[in-house]
Amino acid sequence: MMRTRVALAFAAALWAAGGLGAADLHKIERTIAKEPAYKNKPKYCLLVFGLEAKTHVWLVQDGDVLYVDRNANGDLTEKDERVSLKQNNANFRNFEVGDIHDGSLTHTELNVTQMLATSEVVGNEQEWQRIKRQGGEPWMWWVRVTAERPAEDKRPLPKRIKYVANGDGLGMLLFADQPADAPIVHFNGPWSMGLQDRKQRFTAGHKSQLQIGVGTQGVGAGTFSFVLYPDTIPADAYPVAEIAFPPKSESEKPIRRKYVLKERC
Amino acid sequence: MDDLVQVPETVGKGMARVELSFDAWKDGRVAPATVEVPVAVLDVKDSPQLRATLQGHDDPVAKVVFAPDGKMLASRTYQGEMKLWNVASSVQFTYRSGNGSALVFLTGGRTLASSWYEPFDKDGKTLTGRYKAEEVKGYRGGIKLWDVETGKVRGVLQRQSPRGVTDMAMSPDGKVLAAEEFWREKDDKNIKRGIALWDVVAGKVIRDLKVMAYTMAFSPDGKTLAVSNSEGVNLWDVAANRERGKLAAEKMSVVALAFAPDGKTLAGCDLQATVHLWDVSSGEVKARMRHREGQMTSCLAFSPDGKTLAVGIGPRNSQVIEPGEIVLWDPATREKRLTLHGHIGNVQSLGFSADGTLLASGGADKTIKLWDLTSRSASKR
Repeated sequence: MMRTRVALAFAAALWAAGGLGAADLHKIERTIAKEPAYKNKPKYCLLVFGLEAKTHVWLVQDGDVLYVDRNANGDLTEKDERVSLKQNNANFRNFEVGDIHDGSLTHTELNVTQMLATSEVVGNEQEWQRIKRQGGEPWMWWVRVTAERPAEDKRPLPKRIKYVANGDGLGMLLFADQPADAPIVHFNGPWSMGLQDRKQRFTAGHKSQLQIGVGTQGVGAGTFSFVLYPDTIPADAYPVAEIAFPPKSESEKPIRRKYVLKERC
Repeated sequence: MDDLVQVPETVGKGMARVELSFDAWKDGRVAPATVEVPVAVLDVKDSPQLRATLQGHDDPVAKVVFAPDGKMLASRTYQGEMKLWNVASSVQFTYRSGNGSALVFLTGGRTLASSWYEPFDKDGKTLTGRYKAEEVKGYRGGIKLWDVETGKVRGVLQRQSPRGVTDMAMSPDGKVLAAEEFWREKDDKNIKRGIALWDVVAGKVIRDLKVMAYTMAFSPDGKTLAVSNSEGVNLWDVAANRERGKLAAEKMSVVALAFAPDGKTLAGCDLQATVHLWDVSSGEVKARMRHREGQMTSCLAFSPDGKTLAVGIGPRNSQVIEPGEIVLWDPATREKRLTLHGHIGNVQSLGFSADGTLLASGGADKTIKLWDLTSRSASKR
């Protein structure tokens, strides 16, 4: 299956002091120390925080209940870690989790929404089939949080940064049936850029929208945690896209164009 | 962040390598990234029935409609540019109306009605360009009546407290114009919607129908207005101002409706690329004609003799540029008779000339195409 590959080039200096490198998220062991007795088929997602991704917060949705490892100790049976629905209808379930603890930091407004996908929203046949392969209803997820930045992050930015993970160039965010397969979403990680939508495509001779965002790539489709730019990214700072289009024949060179991206959606 | 990337015509199929950098924002220390994006090359061959392509609009064409004599064609974009063409392909007039998409020739074809709407702020100033939803205090608009010969506005149908107008439908006798309105009442945050029936000669609202509509169509006898909204499709008794019946439909987004000339069949198409044919008397679905997965149907029109149902089709994903199609169905046998190729992207409006020999289509590709449907030409598959 042909998939859009997002190859992140972490060549630029990272924000952390002391020469710390970004964590290899693929090496994270996706296991949960203690789980409650679920009433439905549980769906798993792992949130990790910080440049080194040391803080792990499990989200496990059990029907109308969301278990959240607020204190990041791997025990989901503790008091205050069972979150009931805030809003729901046939098409969505919303959980307002609130605060979670990451050492001395408190991240706020953690919000998890499970929504029914439609083929129109997904807009990519392969991705739509992947969503339907979950079995049952074609659900997809949004995870939002306002993350407190650690003291060692010296960038001149607001103390709190709003993030959302809901879909990216690889597809929609889907919670998994097993912890070992859980998507990993990384907040307060090293920032790069990524595609916002798997529908992204260029067409020869036509104007095509290029949708990108700033944030951190996680593990799995839809795990890119996008920075919400109001109050964080200045309105007059524009990213640049240098594109090498494929030529018509192999004997020709790629066709190169440079675009300054000024529109915000 | 997004932006429109003009992709060169000379590129080939494959993957584009996109190098992203954000040097303009050093504070964020955003690392550069490289992503790959698929590149498509479209190969669209015009069907032999294509007689002319009318170019001149700067935005996607939202509506095309033939004048009753078939010699003139009117078109408009959602952004408010209207053009009147003679079918020999030259533009006669270009008008500027407000936002909106509906166009109707009034009886005789000497007057063209266009709907418009505009949001305004707390000071009554019209909001244009990019604005925040919370800035909108209300909506206003109405129906402009254009003199086809001079290109000037000869009248406006407007409430005392003007309301925005989106869709319109003309009664077959040419006396009543149904207008889908939306407005906000003082201190009410909710947007209200309804249908006004205008007496176009007297310039007065003769009835307010308490129903909202995505789209609507008058029955050939003018007694019934078929209305599509979030509840499905229903038939509204115009004189009694009440629902006459609900068509057997699950909740669906029907985006276009058309009665067959005999009034016995109503056709509607939805965003799932399905055309529904309903028996008007029983309200039951007579047939469903499905198009390909990933497509959407945007518009449909019956030929004047009722023997052809033209359906405009395009990609469901508006970000993806793919060829559009017009499928000509035989509504009696529910068989595809012909598929017309030539548009890129969605086909957004269709209209037959009064004699049924020409079909006009307006597309997301900003063009209008005229298709020759004389029997010899249209019999080719």
